[in-house]
Parts: sequence; structure tokens; C-alpha cells
Amino acid sequence: MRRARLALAVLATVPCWGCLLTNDFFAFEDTAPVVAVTEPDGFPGSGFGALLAAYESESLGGLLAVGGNPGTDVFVFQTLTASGDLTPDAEFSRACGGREGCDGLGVGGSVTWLAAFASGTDCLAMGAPATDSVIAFCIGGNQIAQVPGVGSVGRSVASAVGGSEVFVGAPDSGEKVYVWADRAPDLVGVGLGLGLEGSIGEAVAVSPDGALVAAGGDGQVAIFSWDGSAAALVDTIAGEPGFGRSLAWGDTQDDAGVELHAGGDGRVTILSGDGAELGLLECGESPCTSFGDALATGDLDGDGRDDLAVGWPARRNFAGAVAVFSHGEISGPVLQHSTPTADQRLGRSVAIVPVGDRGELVAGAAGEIYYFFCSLLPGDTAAVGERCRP
Amino acid sequence: MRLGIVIVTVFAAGSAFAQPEDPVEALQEARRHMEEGQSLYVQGRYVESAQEFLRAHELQHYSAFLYNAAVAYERFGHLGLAATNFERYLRDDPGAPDRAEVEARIARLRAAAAAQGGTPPPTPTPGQTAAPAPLPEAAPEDIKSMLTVQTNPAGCRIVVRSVAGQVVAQGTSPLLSTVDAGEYTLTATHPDFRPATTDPMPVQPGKVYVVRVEMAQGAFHAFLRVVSNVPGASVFVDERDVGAVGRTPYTNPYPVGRHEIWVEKPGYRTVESEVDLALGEDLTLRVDLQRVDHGYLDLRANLRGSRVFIAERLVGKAPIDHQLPAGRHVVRVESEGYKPFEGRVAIERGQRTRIDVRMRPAPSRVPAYVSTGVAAALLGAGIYLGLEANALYEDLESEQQRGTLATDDPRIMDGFVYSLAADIGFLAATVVGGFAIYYFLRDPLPDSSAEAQRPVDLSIAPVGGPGLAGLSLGGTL
Repeated sequence: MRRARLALAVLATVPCWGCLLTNDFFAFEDTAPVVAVTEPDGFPGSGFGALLAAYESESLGGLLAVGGNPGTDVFVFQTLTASGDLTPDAEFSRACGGREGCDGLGVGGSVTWLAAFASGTDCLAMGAPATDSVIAFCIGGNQIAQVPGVGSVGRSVASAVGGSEVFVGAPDSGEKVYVWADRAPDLVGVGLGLGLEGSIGEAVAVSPDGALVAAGGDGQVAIFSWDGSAAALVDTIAGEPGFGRSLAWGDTQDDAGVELHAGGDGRVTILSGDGAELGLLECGESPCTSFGDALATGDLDGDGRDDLAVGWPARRNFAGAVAVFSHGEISGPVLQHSTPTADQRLGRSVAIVPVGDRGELVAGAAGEIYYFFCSLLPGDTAAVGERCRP
Repeated sequence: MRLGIVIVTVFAAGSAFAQPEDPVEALQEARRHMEEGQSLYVQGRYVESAQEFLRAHELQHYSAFLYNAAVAYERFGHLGLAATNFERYLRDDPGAPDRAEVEARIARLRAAAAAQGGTPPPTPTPGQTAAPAPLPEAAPEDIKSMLTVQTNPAGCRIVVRSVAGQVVAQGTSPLLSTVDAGEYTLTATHPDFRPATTDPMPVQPGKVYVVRVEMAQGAFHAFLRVVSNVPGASVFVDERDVGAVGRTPYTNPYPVGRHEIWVEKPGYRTVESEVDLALGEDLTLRVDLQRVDHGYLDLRANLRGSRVFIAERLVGKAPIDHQLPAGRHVVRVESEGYKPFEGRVAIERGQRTRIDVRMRPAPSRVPAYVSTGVAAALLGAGIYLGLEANALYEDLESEQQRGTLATDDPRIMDGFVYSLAADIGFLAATVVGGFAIYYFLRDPLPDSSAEAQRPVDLSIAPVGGPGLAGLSLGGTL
């Protein structure tokens, strides 16, 4: 009898332990600092998370465009409402699905934001290289521009912050980069006439002020200036194979101008606006394959200066990671999934979404995107049970 | 001087007329007729008196009956019948000491009868008292009495003397003699025994006396009486190993001198004492038997071979008859597959307490053990999963502190599943444990029980001293 009573007492007390744990595990899903957003229902095709483009709208708040492989679609999430509420997984709209004139174009090759275009505002420009098209969806009107027969128009798109022009990469066009301005409904090819071997246009990037444009691919990067109507070559920089497949402008260095960050060859080269090499950012381990395949700049630590996020999707059996370099630093934390798994491909795309006076890192992965609300930068660590932001 | 033990018995009166076959009964019946005849004679109912004497003679051919019948007829006036019965008297007892007187009396009666012309007096109706001729008043002393002398052993020489020293009868025992009323002394002699002589013994008319003489062999005797507070105790005198000579209250003659006496009774302490008997002393030895300090437990069980423990010590297997100190004892009876019995029993001093234990089967505990095992396994699984969940929780908490925990981290679901499984395990363990408790407690049969009988005095107890062994039967139930 004594044994039975003891057993009953133990059995009566221990279930509470499990109940508490069960509830606590549920709490993790609400409080974990890295928020995962999985592929939404109805996302066509595959590759959700292959493209990321962040934008801060004066009227809508923070917006994040998430695309997939070419021929899919782009979904827009309202990450931050106009009133300042953080809503990382709130679907705002589906860019193309069901819209007249969009289906069948095969959007998803590239994406960028424009403050205004033609008669519309808060525009999302998407490249559709399969149809040599670029589509601009704006609040107030949509436009489509095509350069039939080129074959890769729209592989990459870029615009300046608050700009109203879209630079369109077309690596199969020879040395051309197309410009789509709201005053000219058709794409205008900008013949550089530089006699480059290979092609450029795998990636394009526009400096924040719109004065410099970089186009890269096939182991080289061309920097040219843009005055709103004509381009002038500033410099070409050659590198290892793959160099120039990713480009990002940002003021990450303590100098007078903005810097161009070029990746794609397993490292990130920091170039000045005139093409001078300012430094290299390396992965710090081996192999460094895919280190720098995606680049984004923005203020991650709230110091008012740009920081650099470097995607590294092939790291450790393609589990992937994102390296964060604070302003001026040549090393920084490597963010990865708390349970890295093979082929997760974290860092295949990166963006820095605006959250108040600073930004938060978003990284694309295979079928998911992740908000890193705590980038482990100074002042950006999580307390237990709390998110870093807002 | 008394040389022997003499017991004189006067038989009580009786009224049966049937002829008994038993000699003793016949003697008693004859004696009753003689007593009746003597009574009728005193009342003057002579004919009826004579008839009673003759009935007595038919039962026991003692000459005294004929003599008494002749006297009764003579008193009535049946002179011829009187003479005839006197003649029968002399024939039965040719050596009668009063033969000359009786012969003269017969002659006188015959002559008187001839003078009467053979006319008998009228026959009175029953109950009528008639006296046709003036006769002297009836005197009981005219009636003779019977004296029977028996000896132990038989074959003693008996001499009966009057107080005047005249020998009135003699012969070999058992002796039958007809005597007149008076006082007599008896002398019994035997070559192997000391002669015995009685004190003067009064003999009333018309009575039958039986005198028994115990002959003493070489020593003078005294009476020894042994009484005890508990009757029925065995009495051993002088030689204990030859067995008990009797039970209390015990009376027997013993030679004078010192005697060693043991008084025993099962359940009581043996009392040993010595007495010194004086010649002719009638000594009463009073023994106060005290119970022994122990008793016996007579335990019987419906399941033979059940192990019996007393005060946690194995004392044997049922049935047992176990000696225990008087007092309360804890008795436990066990047997495989049966419910143990445990209880207290009071052992009384010098008594046997019987307990009938009824062992009842114990319910099978296999389901209980199986349930317990399953519950333990579930509990163990629950604890293991709980620990795993706990470890995952700590990992996740650490990850969260580092700021790297993702909301879709599979460990969150793993931990949730583990903790849920742990809860299920605990719950199932509780339920199954409940079943285990139920099966442990489930008992459709009553417990083993016992019924104690009232303690009884020991009926069988070892007796004897050093080198002796045996059993003495006695006691009460």
C-alpha cells in the first residue's frame, strides 16, 4: 500500500511539468527573434524567397517584395504598418497573379521599388526575362515595357532610392543596360561601347543618389555615371569568374562617397565610386562558395550608417547563412538558422527592411524568408521571451 | 484391637417379588421379604408374615427364614405348620446350636396339634389380625436374623461369638449364618494374613447383615484419604512408576508408616508430599493444586502444512499443539497463495486453547504487477521524454538569448511533441497506475480468519519422572 500511495503521489505531480513545458514551447513560436515566413498559399511555382526588395512607403509603411524563380510571381508583405506596428508576415498584395496583362509574362526574375513611376506611386518594378519585359505595378496604374527578341531583358532591375527610373539588366544584349523612365514608356538601351568581353547585366545597382550605376556579370563590373539622360563610363573592374553577379551601393566605409559592393566570386569587393578597390570582405572559412551571392546595405545597428549584409547560401552543405558587417568592419557575426539543415539556402537573397530609424535584416531561403530581428550587432540582442523589435 | 477392616452393610428394603437372577439382587430381594415378614409379625399379621419369610426362603435358602416362618405360624396357632417349618429349619441347618430346643419345641407343637384334633385355626382375611388362642404377646426377638460374612481374600476361617463368648456360628468365608438378635463378635483367620476381629456388633431381629473383612498381610492398616481442590487428580503412592492408584477424592487403607504421595493433574503442578500414618489413623491429605505457568496452543487450519509463526518465529506447520507461556501471543499463519492470518491469542495457564484457522486464497496479483510494470514503463518514458523536452527547451532558450532562434525551428515542434508525449505518458501512467492500485487492492474474498474455542483443561499431558514416559488421561472438556 505504501508503494502504491507513493507512486500515485509522483504520478499526480509530474504531469504539471509536461504541461508547463508544452505551453512554453508554444511561446517560443511567438517570441523567437528570428521570424520565419513560409511560402504563402497560392504562390505559383517554386523558389519563394529567391528575390527580396524592401521599401519604405510614406503612406503604407514598410513593404517587402518577395519573389521566386523566373515565371512565378512576387508577393508583397506589409512588414511595418504606417502606425508603426510590426507585421512581418502580413500579406499585403500579390503583384501579378490575376492581373490583366501580367499573367504569362513570367515575372520573378528581378524586382525593385520605385517611389513613383508615370502616374503611379509606390511602384514595384519586376523583370520578366523570359518575355524580355519589365512590369511596373503602382498605386494608381500599371505599365509594361518590352524589348522583344533580346532574350534576357529584365534579368536584373534597379532604381535609386526615391527614384523614378528603372535600370534593367539584359546580359544577353551585349554591352547594354536598359533604362525605363517614366517619361519614356519604352526601354531605352544604353550602349556603353566599352568593348567588354562577355556580358554585363546579371546585376545592376544604382547609387542612392542615382548618379552612379553599376552593372556586373561574367567576372567584371562596369560603373558609369547617369545624369538622367546619358551615361558615361567611369571604370570597369575585372575579377574572378562570377565577380559582379551581385551588386549593392552603400556608404559602409568612412570616406566621402558611397561604395559599390560587388560579389559573386566567393568574396565581396568594396569599390569606390570611381572604381578603386577599397577592400575585400572574405568569409573567414573554407570553402567560401557563394559568399556574397546576395548583398544588401542599410543601417542595421541604428548608428545612422550603412552596414552590409552578405548572403552565403551555399555555406555548410547549402544550409546557408548571412554575414553582417557593421559599418567599416571587415568581420562580423554570421547569422544562420538556429537549426541549420541542408539545402535550406539561407541567404540566397538579402534585404534590409526599414523599421523606424533603422533596418532589420531579411534573408531569403528555399521556400521561406527570415526576419532577423536580432542581428547580434551592438544594441541588437534579444531578451528571453522578447523580440528585439520593435 | 482391630486386626482388619470390617464393613457392615444392612441391605435396604425392597418390594419386588420377581425372582432375580443376580445373586446380589436375590439376596436383596430376600432381605426385603424378610423385612416385610418381620414388620407384619410385629403387627400381629402372623400368617402374612410367615408367607413373606417363606418367599424369602424361596429366594435364598437360609434356614433363618424357615425358623421365622415357623415362629409366625406358631403365634397364629397353625401348630402343625409351625412344627413342619421348624423341622425344615433343622434339616437345612443340622448343626444349629439351638437344635435341642427346637426339637423339644417341635414335640410340644405336635402334641398340642394332636390335642386340637387337627383343626387349624380359621384363616383370616388379608389384613386381618387374628389370634384364636391366648398366646404370649409377639416379641420381635423371636425372629432370627441373617449374617453373611465375606472376606478379602475368601477362604478365611470365620468364628461368630456372642458377647458371652459362646460360639454361635463358624465356618469358611463366605459364611452364611442364622443368628438371634444380640451382640456378636467376628474373628477371621487366614494362614497368610493377620487375624481380624470385630468389635461387638449389634444384631437386630429380622435383619440381613453382610460383613466384609479386608485381611491385612503382615502390617497394620490405616485409612488414607486424598482430596484436592480440583477433583479427578491422579494419586500416586510410594511408587510413581507403577501408575496412579486412583483419583481424588481417593480413599484406601494403607499400612502404617511413612508414605510418599504424588498428586497430578494435567495442567497443574504436581504436588508431592509425605504422610506418616499411625495405626488405625484416618488421615485426610488435602492438596491444593496450582495451575502450571504455561498452556497449549492447539492450532488447526483448513490448509494442512500452513506455516505457523508465533512472535515472528516459525514454530511448525499446522496442525500443531504447541506449548506456550501463559499470556497473549501474536500468531501468524502463512501459506503460499493464501492470505496470511495474523491475530492475538490468549493462552491460559494450564489450559489448551484451540484455534481453527480458515485460510482463504489470495487474489492473483499478476494484473497488478503487469499494470505496475506498464505504469512504470510509461512513467519512465514520460520522464525520459520530459527530460528530452527540458533539454530542448534549454537549447531553445539559449538560442533565443543569442538571438538566433527561428520561429520555425524544428526543435520547437520536437519539444512540443516530446512534452506532449511526456504528458500523455504521465497521464497514461497515472491511469494504469490507478489500475495497478485497484488490482492491488481488489480482493473479492474476505481475509483469512480464525475462530478461537474456549480454553479447556489439558486432557492429555505428559506424566512421570526421570526415566518415565507415558500419558495420563483425564481432565474435563
